[in-house]
Amino acid sequence: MNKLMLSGCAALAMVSAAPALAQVNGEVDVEGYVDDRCQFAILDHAIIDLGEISGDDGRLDEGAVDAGQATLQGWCNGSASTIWVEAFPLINAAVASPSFANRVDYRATATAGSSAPLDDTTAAGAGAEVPLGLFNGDIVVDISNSASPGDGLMVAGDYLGRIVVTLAPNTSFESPPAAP
Amino acid sequence: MRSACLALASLLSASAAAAGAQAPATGDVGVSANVDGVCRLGPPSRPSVDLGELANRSGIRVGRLAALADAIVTLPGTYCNFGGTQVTLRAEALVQTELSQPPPGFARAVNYSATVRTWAEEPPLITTTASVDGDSPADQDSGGTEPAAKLTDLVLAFFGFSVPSDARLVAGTYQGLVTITLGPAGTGPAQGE
Repeated sequence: MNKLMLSGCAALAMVSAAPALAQVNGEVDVEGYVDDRCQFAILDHAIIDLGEISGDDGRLDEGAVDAGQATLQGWCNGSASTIWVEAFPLINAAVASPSFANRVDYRATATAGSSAPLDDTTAAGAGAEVPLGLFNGDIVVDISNSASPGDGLMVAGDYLGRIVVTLAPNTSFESPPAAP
Repeated sequence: MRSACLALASLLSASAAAAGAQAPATGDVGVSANVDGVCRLGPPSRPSVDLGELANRSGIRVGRLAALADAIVTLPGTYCNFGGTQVTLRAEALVQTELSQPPPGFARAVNYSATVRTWAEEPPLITTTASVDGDSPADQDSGGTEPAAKLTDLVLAFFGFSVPSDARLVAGTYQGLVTITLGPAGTGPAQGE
């Protein structure tokens, strides 16, 4: 970028110093850049409605939970982009008595191309950040490995959880230098 | 010229400051589910209570009600997965199944008390009040409300057997019926017998 500035100034100087009838050339370098960027397209929000998640025995129907799936759509335009997932357990606000469970833990996996970051709700915080690179397409969010604490009887009521998928653009090119 | 260069440099550096990665983007997936409210009565430890011979076979009380031991039936693994539930108990006295009208001095009904323990603090308690001829044999009572989801071994107890007027019992087969209903307080059909 410094080169651009110096060459631009030299060209202006040559113009002003040229003889009246001589042909001269003035040059203007044109440069631009594209920031590293990631965005979710139209589908930046989805809902997985699992319905009834207790079995005939009153305990968690793991199959019903593990069937949960949703699709987001997004893109990243830089080779340094990454992706990670943070999942939050399904919680019923009703108080759990002994022998009962009001929480469902699970693993959330977001598959974007060859990247498949995951996060277990039993572990605090987000899962590991993994490389994504140039990407444009579906991000399929899957639930698996569901379980309730102690395999207790499930307390009746509504259960709510959340899965957050993050696309981080990072920096894949050398940024222009700061002003002198 | 110097000022022009500085101006150009300033303009370019301003653009340069905007270069670099943008903020991460996040996509949300809400996950929802539900569990229906349900109550289940565990399998009774025995499907029926056979009291055997009801009358004394000898002694000064021959033909009259014998001393019957209390009877217990457990329903292990009984639960409701929500709060605000109660147990309702309905009992019919033991009535002789064949004869409609006993002769004077005889009875064809055996009354008893029944209760269900281990649910709410206040258990249902009933005592049947059938007459000597077996009329009005049924009684019903509801226990207190259990405020939270609960899993327990429900205990149904029979005790205090008696015969109206302590009359002699008519020979034959005697049958009664106890129905336990577990469900939301104040509602719900019978769910187990």
